[in-house]
Amino acid sequence: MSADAQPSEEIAALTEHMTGGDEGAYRMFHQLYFQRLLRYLLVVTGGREEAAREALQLTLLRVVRHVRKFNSEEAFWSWLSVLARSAVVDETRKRHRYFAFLERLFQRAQIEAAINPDPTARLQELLALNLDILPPDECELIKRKYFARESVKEIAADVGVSEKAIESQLVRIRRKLKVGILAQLNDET
Amino acid sequence: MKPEQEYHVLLDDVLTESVPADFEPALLDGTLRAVRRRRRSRRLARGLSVVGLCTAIALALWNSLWPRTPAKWVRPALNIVHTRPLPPSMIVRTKPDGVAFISSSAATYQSVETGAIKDPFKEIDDEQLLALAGGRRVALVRQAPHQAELIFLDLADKDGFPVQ
Repeated sequence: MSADAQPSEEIAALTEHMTGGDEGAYRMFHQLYFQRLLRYLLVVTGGREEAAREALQLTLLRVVRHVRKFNSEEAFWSWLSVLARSAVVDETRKRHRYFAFLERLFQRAQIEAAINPDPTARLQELLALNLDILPPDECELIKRKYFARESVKEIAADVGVSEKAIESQLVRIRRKLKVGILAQLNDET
Repeated sequence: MKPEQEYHVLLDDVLTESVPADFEPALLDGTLRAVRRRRRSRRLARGLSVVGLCTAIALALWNSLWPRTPAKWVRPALNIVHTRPLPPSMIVRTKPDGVAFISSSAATYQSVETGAIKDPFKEIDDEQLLALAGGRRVALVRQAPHQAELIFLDLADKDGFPVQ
């Protein structure tokens, strides 16, 4: 289940258990929000993967330190995104102490741009753009795997190659898509 | 599955591509370690506050059940200092009227003022000098332009005579 679909009662229970230091609740939180936070941070950092990962680490530690009970998913996500943004700013400041001021100037513009729009929606737009510019055979493979929900085994049997070959091709295409998306995010900032 | 969700799955796969495989589990481990650390520190803080509260209650009970007896006040040992009178030879005494006082007043003295006398000598010429002789026999002998001698010709006039 994705984090967006969490009913308010479940979020309230989850955050209450997290406040009590329940490890199971943290595992659930991690499962629900890890990808979403990483996506968000990728957008905020302008596609800088390393910075996004460091900020994610800091964000999760701050969650442990400051978590409280939230009655709605919206409020919880809003709080998480504030933590994530401040983690990005702090990490950037730490890494470039001498250029902190300049960095903050750029960072602020970047963050302001990232506050309102839904980062996932932006990433999906970029994904769609990058899918469109893929060669037809690669685009077809992705569509069969992700949109037609065909298994690798089925695709491999249909194309007449090994499953491993299909897996490697999928890895290559996903990397290509990722490079394209991150480069575009970087250009935007 | 909705197309949006399909994109979601693909996006997750794309973004986690080339992310180190141990990143997510390592991050979860780090989070759980932080949770345990926080739990321990909370437990410790709670334990300390309970211990503090128990100690305060125990002290209050102790004081109410066995009121504290006032500690005996031990008076410090006294140091006695003895004094003796001085021998009379070492004592200097004063008595009234031992010193004569002289008081002065404006009536008991007269002030005398001195000052420069103007023209103590009066210069006279030869005629006037001879006039002072008052008809006695005298002679004025000039010995130099500024030196002259009055000679009394009668010996009786040598010791002086009254001048009018």
